[in-house]
Amino acid sequence: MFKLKAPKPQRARIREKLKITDSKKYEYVLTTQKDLVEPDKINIVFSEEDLPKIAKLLDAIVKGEDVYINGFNQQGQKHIESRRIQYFTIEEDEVMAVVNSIKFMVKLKLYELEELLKDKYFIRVSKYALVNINKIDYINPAMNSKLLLQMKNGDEVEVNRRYYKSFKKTLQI
Amino acid sequence: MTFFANIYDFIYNNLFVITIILGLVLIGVLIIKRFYTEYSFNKRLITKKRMLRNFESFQLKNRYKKIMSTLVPVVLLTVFIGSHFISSNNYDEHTMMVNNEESIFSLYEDFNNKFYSESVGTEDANALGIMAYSKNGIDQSLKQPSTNIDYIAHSNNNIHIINQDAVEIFTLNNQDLIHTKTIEHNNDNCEPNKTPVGVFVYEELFVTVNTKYMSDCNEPLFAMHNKRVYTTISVFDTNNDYELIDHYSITGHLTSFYLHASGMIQLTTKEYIPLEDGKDNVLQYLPTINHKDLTIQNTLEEVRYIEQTKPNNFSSVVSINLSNQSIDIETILHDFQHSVYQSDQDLVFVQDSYIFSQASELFELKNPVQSISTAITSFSFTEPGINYNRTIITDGEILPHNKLFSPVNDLVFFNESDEKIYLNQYNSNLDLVNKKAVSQDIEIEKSVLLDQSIEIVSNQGNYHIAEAIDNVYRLLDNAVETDSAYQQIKHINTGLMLGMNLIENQYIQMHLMDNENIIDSHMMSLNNTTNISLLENVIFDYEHSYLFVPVIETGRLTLSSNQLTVDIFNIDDEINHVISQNAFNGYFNQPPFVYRAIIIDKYIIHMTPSEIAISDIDNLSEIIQSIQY
Repeated sequence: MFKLKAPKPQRARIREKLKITDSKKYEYVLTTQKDLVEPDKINIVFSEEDLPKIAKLLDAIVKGEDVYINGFNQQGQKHIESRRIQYFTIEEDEVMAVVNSIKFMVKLKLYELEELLKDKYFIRVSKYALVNINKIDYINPAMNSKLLLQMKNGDEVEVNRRYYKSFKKTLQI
Repeated sequence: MTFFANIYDFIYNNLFVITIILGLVLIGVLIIKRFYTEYSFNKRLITKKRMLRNFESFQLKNRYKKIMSTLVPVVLLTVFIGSHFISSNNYDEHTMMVNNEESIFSLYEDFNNKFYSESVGTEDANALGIMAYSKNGIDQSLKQPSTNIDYIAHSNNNIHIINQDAVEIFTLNNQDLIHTKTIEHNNDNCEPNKTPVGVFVYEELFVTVNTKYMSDCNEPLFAMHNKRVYTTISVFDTNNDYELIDHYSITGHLTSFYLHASGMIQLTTKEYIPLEDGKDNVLQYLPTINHKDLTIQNTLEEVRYIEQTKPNNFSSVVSINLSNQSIDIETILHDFQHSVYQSDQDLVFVQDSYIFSQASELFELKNPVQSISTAITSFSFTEPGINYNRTIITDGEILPHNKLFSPVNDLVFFNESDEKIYLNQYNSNLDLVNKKAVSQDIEIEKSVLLDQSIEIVSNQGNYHIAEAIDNVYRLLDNAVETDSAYQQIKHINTGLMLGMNLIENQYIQMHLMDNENIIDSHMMSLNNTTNISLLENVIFDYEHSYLFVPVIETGRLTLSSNQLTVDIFNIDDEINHVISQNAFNGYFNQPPFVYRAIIIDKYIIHMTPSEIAISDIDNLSEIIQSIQY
């Protein structure tokens, strides 16, 4: 999403304060020097004193770019920020979005959600699950070439053997 | 091909253990692979989250908990396997105290588990145990102990001769030889169970040293090897018609004996411990001394085990003072196969010490012994008793049949050609010689001289010595004619040595020498005596210039014969050197001695195991009197 361009002595310090890591595919260039801007990207030029403000700006960009999903349950309909969703799963032929311990029914198919969220932080891990990478707490390898994803809400989601390679690729392993 | 055969043998014999090890290795690899996968996935997860600018930090504690849960089984496995490779025996200066029966049995089992490996074609472990018992056990005949006692002893005009299981006593009265007494050791009609192995006279006391088998009359002789063996010492009063006045009994075979001028006896015995029968009987084999109503024995806590020797034998070190009857004992646990060397002040045990390959702790190996060293344990004798000095372990292996040319102190004794250590005494020091044979020459690789406290005092190496003849006896390098060899060297009471070579069965070349020089040299022809043997009991009286060389007319030493001819030579007369030729009554099979002669006043006393005779020194041709017994 972001790429930081700054002189080497500054770079690590700024990266730490902004809590960012460079992405291969990025839309935003963050730089402290005008001559480092890239014409085909959105460039943010700043000085080091403004780092706190830049951090808030980046939060706003991330939130502002989020996708909202409509979910239903007994209480009614809810507009859910996708980044709050732990994972999507299929239960009794219905697609469910799990937000913490609450489940919402989603009227989109799983492959549609996958297409919608493919540039975000969601990854398909099995025929029945689409997982928010940010909500993975820990990855436990199993003996049979499978992975068990321990989610932040305590649930466990299995990475199917068929999706193992794509999962690895997503994590760039 | 042999290599592959060995591999096959190893796999065949250790299939179960190999399966376990391979399984453990496989599990280990899987655990490590899983740990690596887990680590790399979660590391990438953190990076990915940061790319997505997820501000929630990764839970490190959780990660460490996971890592620990993975590593703990690996660590436990490593500790488990590692503990098997670490020896539990703690030695202090190459010895350890055994404490109790359990610890002796544990040493025995630990040693045998490593020492006796099972390979293709062998039978079960019990068979190996029996083989070990047979090889090293009590049925092995006792070799001639290292002693300074003799089969004959004389004081004033009394002559004492061992005659099978009795001692014959003769008195010389002018030129009359009188048989005064026979001391019988067995008063019943059973098979003899007590045999004198040496006699000596100390002041007014006559002492016999005996081997005694515990048996009863109803048991056949062939069962004797199963019986407990005792070494006994009987003390008789020569002034009171040889009345028995004292008696000592020590358990075990006599392995060495030394009489000090002060009347103190130092001796050693050994007894095999049949641990293959279990640990229950260990205490009954612990050496004891019985004297009158007193029994002395070390406790098990006082018994020393010599590092990495076969723990199958108790050896006792005993001191007995004939003057004040004080006694002392020390006990060691070590190999039944060992050598003992005694000198005036010291006593040294020499035995093999085995170094096992570490893998033998876990596996059945075809060759579990990595190397054999020599353990040397020394004791000293000072009033009122025995002191343990120390134990050292040195490179090289000593031959089992190596023995000291006792009581000679200044000879090096070589026997067979091999890359082994030979241990000898030299001027009260011990001489360790590591040698190997190069064609017909003997090349000394290493010669180490140890002092009485078995500290190394000199170290020599890489020199050649005499041509290798069977049983070469040779003087040390500072003695005469370093390049010559003698087929036999005899130590003479005057402190001189006589070296003899038989040349072409025609001549005896003789050199009389001290440590420095050849004093006298003679070449004697031996007409018509092609079967001459240079016997052990050559007596040479330098003052009188008489040399007695027994000539066997028929048969060999170990065969039955009833004829023994002794030629008497005058070495001052090289032309007419044969003075007389006397025939004596012969001897029985495997006699303790064949012929001995001593000079009392102007008479020569000739002795064979069945006859004693007297002749006048001025008339050697005439036998004045002879008595058969």
